[in-house]
Amino acid sequence: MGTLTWKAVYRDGFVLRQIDPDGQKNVYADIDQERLSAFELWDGDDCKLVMPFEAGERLIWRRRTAVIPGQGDETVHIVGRRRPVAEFLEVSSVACIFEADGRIISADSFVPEHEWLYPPSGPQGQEVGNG
Amino acid sequence: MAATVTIRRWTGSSGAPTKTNITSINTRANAEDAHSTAGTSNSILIPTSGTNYSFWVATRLSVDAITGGTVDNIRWYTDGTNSLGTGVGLNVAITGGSVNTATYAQATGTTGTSGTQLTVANYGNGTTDLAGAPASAFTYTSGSPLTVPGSLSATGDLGQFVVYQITVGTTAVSGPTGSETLTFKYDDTSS
Repeated sequence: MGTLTWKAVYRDGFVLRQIDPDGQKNVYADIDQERLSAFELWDGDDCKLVMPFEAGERLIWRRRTAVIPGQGDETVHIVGRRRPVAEFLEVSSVACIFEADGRIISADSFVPEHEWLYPPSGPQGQEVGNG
Repeated sequence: MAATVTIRRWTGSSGAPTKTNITSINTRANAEDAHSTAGTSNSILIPTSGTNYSFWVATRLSVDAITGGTVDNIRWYTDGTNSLGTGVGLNVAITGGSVNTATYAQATGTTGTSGTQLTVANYGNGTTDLAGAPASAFTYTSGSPLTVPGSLSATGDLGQFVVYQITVGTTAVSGPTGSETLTFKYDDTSS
């Protein structure tokens, strides 16, 4: 597999691409989470992962890289969903997909002791400054 | 695309340090304040009693390119197994205080014999420049890593230093030690 890029599909059908066909880049913070209906990861023309979203749910995405001197990098994409529970947002699904071979590991929530599925920075794995 | 993040080994004076990119290469911890991939001229002498040390090795991430987003959630770990050899250990600590002013302290010691032991008292201001006493690096694994404070949304030096040091006891054997893989891991939300 090559480098994965994301697409954010909105409820009205609009698609925000990480990299537009004209090369223009969009960043994670550009995603309008209120309008999000699906988040996709693509390897060129091949869709590798789709995570659907309902109204009120929030996206978690980040690239997680291990740098091993002399041996190269290993990168996964962390994709998760937080849903509203009372006045909080609770992680309801999270997955990581390996760029090297497309392998996917999924869980209901972050796993603090896991090599890859540990939470992002911030309390209880909440995104800081996003969503 | 992803941010370009490299591992830098800092050597030289604190006023004008050399920040060698060791992302794709090995680096040796010898009894000298210098990076090398195969240097043997300033090896650590095996002591007749007590412990000798390498000069400490100060490493830090650097964001060399980024478009939007943030690099954070830094971790550092080993494979949990000491493969350096009999009588040889590896201790590690991170710098303390504000990540924006993380202190680089040039490694000192007697070149070709032993470095100064890495302790809170011997590093920087002797009190807060090292976050805590060094511990065996092999206690930090992928499932239980060393958490390294730091976050950056621009180019530049990122987070606290990870400072490590080889220890050599009287039972060590002459010659190069085995090698160890020391891994940095980070999150990146750039585009």
